[in-house]
Amino acid sequence: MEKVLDPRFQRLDIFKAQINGPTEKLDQLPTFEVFVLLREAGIYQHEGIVHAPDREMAFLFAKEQFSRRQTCAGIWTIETPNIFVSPYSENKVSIYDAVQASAETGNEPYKIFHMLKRGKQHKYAGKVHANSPEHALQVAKAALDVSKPVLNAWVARESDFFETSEEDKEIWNTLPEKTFREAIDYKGQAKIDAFLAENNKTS
Amino acid sequence: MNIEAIKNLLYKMADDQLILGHRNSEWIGQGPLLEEDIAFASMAQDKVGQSYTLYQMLNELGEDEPDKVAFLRMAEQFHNSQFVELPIGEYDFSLIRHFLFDTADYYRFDMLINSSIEPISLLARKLKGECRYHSMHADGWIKKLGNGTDESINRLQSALSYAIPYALGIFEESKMEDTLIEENIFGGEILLRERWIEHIDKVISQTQLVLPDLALESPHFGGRYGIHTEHLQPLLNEMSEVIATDPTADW
Repeated sequence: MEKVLDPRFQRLDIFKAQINGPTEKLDQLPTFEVFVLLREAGIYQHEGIVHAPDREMAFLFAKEQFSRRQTCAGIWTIETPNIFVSPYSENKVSIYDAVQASAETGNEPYKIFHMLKRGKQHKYAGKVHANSPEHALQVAKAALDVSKPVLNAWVARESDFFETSEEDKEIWNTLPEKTFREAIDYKGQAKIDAFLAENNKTS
Repeated sequence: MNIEAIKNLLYKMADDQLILGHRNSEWIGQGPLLEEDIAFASMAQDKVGQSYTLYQMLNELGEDEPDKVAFLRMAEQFHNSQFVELPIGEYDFSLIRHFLFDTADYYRFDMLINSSIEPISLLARKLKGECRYHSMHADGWIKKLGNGTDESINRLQSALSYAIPYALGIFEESKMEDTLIEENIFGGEILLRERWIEHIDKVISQTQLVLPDLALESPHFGGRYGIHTEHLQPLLNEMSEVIATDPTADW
């Protein structure tokens, strides 16, 4: 076998892994996708992933993981495999160009998320009723705003989400006042500067 | 308005928060998974923040400033329940304590919303949401692990049986209890205990765990009167290391 000099390959021990067959499954909890509503008037957007035993616990972890500092008005969590991912497109080509619009709806509510720019988060685009994720995209093309090119879409059944209840929203009441959660609140650099100035004066 | 009774109430609440906040912060960087580490550490920080707010109220009532009250008293001057000063143990005990204490804390603030003392009522209204999250988080874990594996169930069960007499110590009545109730400052420890039992019983009944018969337990009292276990003073020494080295230190 040819020797690869790239240190990343050596660190990965990639050839050993091939010889020994598939690696063991990681001992980790499943992942959940987290969507956050920053303020009441805003829209939900994807913020990241948490490991958790179920979607309720994922919500409890996401609360501190993704709303420790900024304001927050709601969180949705859903297990990663429950999200159907459309093909990706590039430049100004919308994924909806390859989708046949359908005026015929189905029975199951689906949430649709759009990515409009590479590297940006998926944002909630709206809800449609359909019979499958593929069908949901067809309905979405007819029912939602798809005037801008959509580079990727996520589709998931509404019933697979765990959503913040109205009464639980009080958990974020004190958040704007928790300035002590910001490192800047401790004015560390100012204190170091003052200390150094004081020391230079006396020495 | 009975200032002494109000101070008595605020001190026991603030001391509980400060001590448990410091205890729980010992888990930082060592939690069972990253997400839990962050959540548990944040809640510990909330508790220290809550104690600071309560010490500020005490300061307005004529007590020393918060930093001095927090870091310059000896163990026998603290009014926290013995429960919160116990070492963190393994995660099973810390979770059970989180569940038992934070349930009581949530209902205490809920009751204080009706306090005749306006600043206390306003503060309770403000902090209730924070406490609601703490309680939701604890309930989530207890339901999950209380229905998990043999190991998780057995561990939680022995932690629960060990913790219950200490947890009952939260509700130790102070000398001012009657005044607090008569003047509608606080509904009282007995009422709080009833609401606490109702909630923990509801959560535990959804698991494989068994709540010990509370009538047969003798609560570990004394904390509210300055009687503490051997574990409090070493914790206070550690907490006050900076101020003891340099009383003018700023942080």
